[in-house]
Amino acid sequence: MPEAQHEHGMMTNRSHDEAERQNNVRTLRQSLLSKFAAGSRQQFYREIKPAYEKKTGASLNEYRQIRKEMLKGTYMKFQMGFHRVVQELMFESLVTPVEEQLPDLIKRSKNMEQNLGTLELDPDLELPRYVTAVDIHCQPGGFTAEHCEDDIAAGAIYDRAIHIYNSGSSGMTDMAGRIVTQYLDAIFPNLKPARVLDMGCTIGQSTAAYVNRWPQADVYAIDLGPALLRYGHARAEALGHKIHFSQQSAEHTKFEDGSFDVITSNILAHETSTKAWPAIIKECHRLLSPGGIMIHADLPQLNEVDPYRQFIYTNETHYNNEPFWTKFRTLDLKKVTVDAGFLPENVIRDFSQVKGGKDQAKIDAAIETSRSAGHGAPPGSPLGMAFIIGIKE
Amino acid sequence: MSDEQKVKLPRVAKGPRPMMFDDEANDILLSMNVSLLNELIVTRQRLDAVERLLESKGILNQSDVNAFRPDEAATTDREALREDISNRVFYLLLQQAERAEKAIPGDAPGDNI
Repeated sequence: MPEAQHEHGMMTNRSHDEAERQNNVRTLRQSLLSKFAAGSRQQFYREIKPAYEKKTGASLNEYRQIRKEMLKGTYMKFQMGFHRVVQELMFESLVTPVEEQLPDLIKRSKNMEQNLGTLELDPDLELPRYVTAVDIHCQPGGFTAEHCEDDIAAGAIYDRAIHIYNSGSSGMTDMAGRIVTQYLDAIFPNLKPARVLDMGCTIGQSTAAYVNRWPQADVYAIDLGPALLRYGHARAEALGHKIHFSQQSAEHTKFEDGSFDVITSNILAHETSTKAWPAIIKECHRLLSPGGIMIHADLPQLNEVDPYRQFIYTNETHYNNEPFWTKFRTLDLKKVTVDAGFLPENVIRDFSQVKGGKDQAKIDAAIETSRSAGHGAPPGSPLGMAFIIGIKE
Repeated sequence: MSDEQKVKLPRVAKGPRPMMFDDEANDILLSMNVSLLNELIVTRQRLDAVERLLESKGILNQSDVNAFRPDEAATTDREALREDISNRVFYLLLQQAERAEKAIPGDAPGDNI
C-alpha cells in the first residue's frame, strides 16, 4: 500500500474523481506495468534469447539487436504501448485540475511567502536546447514553458506527477534526496556542510532532504524553469523549508569560486547534453570549496547492467522524450570527471545499494552481479541509484 | 475570470509520438482501452464512495460524494479493486507472462493475441 502524498499548502485540490483518476494511473504504473515488465524479462531470458542463439549460433547480448527481436512479438509492443499511454493519461489527469485552479494556485503561491528562503528569476536567461527541443518525460509544456504571468503550472503538475511516477515515493516525495544523504552519511560520516547547492532542483522536493539533514547549512537550489522555481519556492515556504531558489544554468552559475561544500543533482545528468554535462562537472569543480564533495545521482550506465536492462533503459530515449538518455548512459563518467579537473584518486563511481566508497573491489563485484542478472531479476536496478562523486582537492 | 481569460494549458507533449504497431489503429485502440479502463475504475470507485456513504448515513448527498475521502481500510480495499479490474482487462498479456514464467507450452511468445 503506497504512502499517501503529504498535502501541503500549495497542492492542487482534487475532486473525488480527479483524485481517483490520478490514483489509478499510479496503480497501473506500479502494479500492472511492473508485472508486464517482469513477464517480458522472463520471455527474453527463457524463450527469445535461447531460440535466437539456437537458430543463429550467435549470442543475443546487444541491446539494439535485443530490441529488434523483442519487437517481433506482440507482448513487448503492448507493454511499450501501454507504458506510453499510462504516461499520457498521467499528465491528462494532472493538467485538467491545475488548469481549472491556476488563478487560485498563483494567488496561493503569493500568499505562502514568509521570507524563509528566497526566489530569484532571470528572464534573460537563455534556455539551452536540451530543455526546449522536446517536452521531457512527455510533460505537456515541458519544464520551462510559461503560460501566463507568475505561472506555476509546470510545478503544480510536476509535484503530483512525482508521487504517481515513483514507486518508492514517500509522502514527502523527498526519497531521491534522502538516498543521497544516506549514502553521504555512510561514506563521509564527518561531513558537515555550511553551504549546499542542488542543481536541476525542479520544485525542490529532493532539496528538502538536504535542509532536513543539514539544518545548519545554507541550501541553494537552481533550475532553468521559472514556473517550477516559483512553485518550488511557494512549496518550500508552505512546508517551512529554508531554500534559496534561483533560475540559473548549472553549466555556468553566478556563484563565486569555492562557494559550496556539497553540490548535488538528482536524475539531472541524462536530461542535459554531450556538451553540457562536462561543462556542469567543470562548474562543480569551480564551485566546490577545498575538500568539498559533488555527488550526482542517476541510473546506472549501460555497461553496469545486464543486456536486457540495457534494452529497457534505452527504450526511454525512444518512448519517453529522453533524447540524451542513451548517449549519456554510454559516457565514461569517471573520465569526464577527471577531464573536468578532479584528481583521479578523488573520483568515485558508486551505488546506493552498494556503498563501497573507496573499496573498488566491492563496487566491481556488485557491477558484475548486476551485469549477469538473468530472468528473475526484479524490475528495479539491483545497484539502486548510481552516483558519480568528485572530491575537490 | 471569464472563459476568454482562462489560460489553456497544453495537452500534447512536444516531441515524436511513437507508434508501436505496424497498423497505427492498434495503438489507438490500445490508448482507448487503457483510457476506458481508467474511467471505468473511476466510476466504480465513485459508486463505492456512494455505497459507503449510503451505508453510513442512509441519505445520498452529491456534495458528500465529492467530499468523500476513503479511510485507511477503504483505501486498502479500493487499491485491491483497482488491481483486480486492471488484471481482468489485461488478462491475456498477464497469461502470456505466466506461461513464460512457468514454461507452460502453448502460445509462441507475443503471438496470437
